[in-house]
Amino acid sequence: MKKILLLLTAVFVLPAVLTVWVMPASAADYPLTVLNPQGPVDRGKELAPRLDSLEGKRIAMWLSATPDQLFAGKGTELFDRLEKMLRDAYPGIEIVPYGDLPMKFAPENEVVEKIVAARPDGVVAGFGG
Amino acid sequence: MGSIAITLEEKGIPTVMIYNERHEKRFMGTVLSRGYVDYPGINFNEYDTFTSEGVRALAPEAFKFLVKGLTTWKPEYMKPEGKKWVPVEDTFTYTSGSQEETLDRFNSSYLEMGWGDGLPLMPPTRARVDALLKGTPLAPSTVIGKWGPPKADFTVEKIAVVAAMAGAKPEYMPVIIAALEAITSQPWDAYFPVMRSAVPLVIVNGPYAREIGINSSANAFGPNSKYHANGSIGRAINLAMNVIPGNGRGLKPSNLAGNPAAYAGIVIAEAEGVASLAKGWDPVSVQLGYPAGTNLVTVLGIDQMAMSIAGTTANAAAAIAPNKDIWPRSQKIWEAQYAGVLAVTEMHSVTDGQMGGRTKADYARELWEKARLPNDKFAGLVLTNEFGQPMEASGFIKQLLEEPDVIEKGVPVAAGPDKFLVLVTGGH
Repeated sequence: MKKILLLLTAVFVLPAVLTVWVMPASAADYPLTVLNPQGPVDRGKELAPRLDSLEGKRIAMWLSATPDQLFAGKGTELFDRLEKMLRDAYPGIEIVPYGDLPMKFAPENEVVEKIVAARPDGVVAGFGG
Repeated sequence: MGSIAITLEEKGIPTVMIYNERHEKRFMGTVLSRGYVDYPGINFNEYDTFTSEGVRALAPEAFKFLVKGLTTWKPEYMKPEGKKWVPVEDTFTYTSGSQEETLDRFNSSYLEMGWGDGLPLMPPTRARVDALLKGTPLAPSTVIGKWGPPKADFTVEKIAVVAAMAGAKPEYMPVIIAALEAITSQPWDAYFPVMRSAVPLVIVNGPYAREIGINSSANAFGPNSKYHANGSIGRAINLAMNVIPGNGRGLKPSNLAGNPAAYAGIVIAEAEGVASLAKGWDPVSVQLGYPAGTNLVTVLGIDQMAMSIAGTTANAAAAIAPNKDIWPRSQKIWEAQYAGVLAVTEMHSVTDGQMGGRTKADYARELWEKARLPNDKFAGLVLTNEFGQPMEASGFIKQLLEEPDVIEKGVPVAAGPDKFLVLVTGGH
C-alpha cells in the first residue's frame, strides 16, 4: 500500500509541485537582454563649457527674426513663456530680453558683437519662419 | 544662424537653439560643416509653432531642453572615451510578466532612443547576433567604414546587431556588409540628405544572389513570400544608416514627404540567367568592367522612382526630372554621377529577342538622348540662387551650355549614355 501511495505521489503530486515551481510567479520572469546597436562616434569639436546651473546667471534671449517672421509670429509668445518659466525656476536669474538684441541674423559680425556686448553667460536662440 | 550660434560657442558662450524643422537643412548644414556634431538644437514640427495652442503645448519640452542644453548637455546615451563618444550601455535588459509584454517593452524603448523605423524589431540578442557573425569571415571589430554626421564606426559587430533587428539571416551578411562598405565609402553629405528622400538601390550580381534567395523574378521590387532576402537586407541597410551613427543625428528623416522604400530598402538581383541569353544584354557587373559571374554589390542613391512604365523609352525619359539640389557642382561629379537605372522586366522578350533587336547600350543611349531639359527650363531650375533669383552660368555648366549638341537638343541629365545602368529583373 505504501508503495502504491509513493507511486501515486510520484506520478501526480511531484509533477504538480514542479509545475508550480517553474511557472512564472513575478513580473521579472520573462527577461530579454539585447545588444546596443549604436556605434562609437567622433566627438568633433568641443562646445563651450556648459554652466553649472542657471541660478544667478545672465541669460540672453535672442530671436533671429522679427516677431512677425519667427514661428509665423508666435516666436515672441514662445520666448515670453520661456522667460517666465526661467524666472519661476531660477529666482536669481538675470534675463537679457530679446528686445534688447538685434532681431535679425545679418550682418553676422554686428549681431555677434551686440550679443557679446550684452555679457551673457548663456544664450537661448530662436530660429524659424 | 547656426553660424552665429557656433561663433558664440567659440567665444566661450554656451548657446542652445530652438527652431522649427523646416530649417533643419540650413541649420545642420552650418553646424556640421564647422565640425560640431552634438550641438544642442531642438526642432519642432512647424505646424506646432504656428498657433498659440501649439506654442503653449511645446513650451515645457523647449524649457526642459534649453536648461539641459545650457548646463549638462551631452549626447544622449553616450559617454566620452578619448576622441569618441561611446555607448553608455552595451546591453539593455527588459522584463515583464509575459513574453509579449517584454517584446513590446524592448520595441518601445528602442524607438524612444531613436533606433528603429517604426515597424516591429526583432530583438538583437547575443545568440542571434553571434549567429549572424558566422555569416561573415570578418572579425566583429572590423571597421568597414566611418559615416554619418559624427563619422560613426560601422563595425561588423554593430552591423550584425542592426541586421538582427531587421530579421536578417547569416547568409545575408556579406551583401549587407558590401552595400554598407559602398555607402560609407562616400562622404556623408551634411546638407542635401535633409532635403532629399534618397534611398540606396542595391543591385546584386553573381551566383551568390541566387544562392541566398534574392528575388530577381516576379515582384522583385515588392514583397514575395518565396523570397525573404530582398526586404530583410534592405531593411538592415537602411536601419544601419539610421541607427549606427545615432547620437541623435543619424540619417535625419527628410523634410520632404520621405520615401516609402526607406522601410525595406530597394534590393534586387539581376536576372542574369535570362539576360545572358541575348547578345548585348550582359549583366550590370560586366557593364561595370567585372568578369561575368562576379559576385558584385552595386549601390546607387535613388530619390525618384517610376514604376510600371509602359511604351517607349520616351515615357521612361520623361520620368527622369533633374533636381536642383542634386545637380552636380563640379565637372568631376558631373562625369562620375549616374543618372539612373532602367529595370527591364520583360524577361521573355529578352529571351525571345523581341526587344526590337536593341541592346542595353541602345536603351541607355535612347534614354540619354531623350531625358533632356530645354535650355530655358534648365536655367530656371538650376541657374538660380536660394532665393530663386537668376544666376549666371559659370565653370563647367557654362561650358556645357555652349556645346552645340546641348544648344540644339537641350541639357542632358548625365555626362553620357554610360551613366545609365540597364538591368533585367522582375517577372513577366
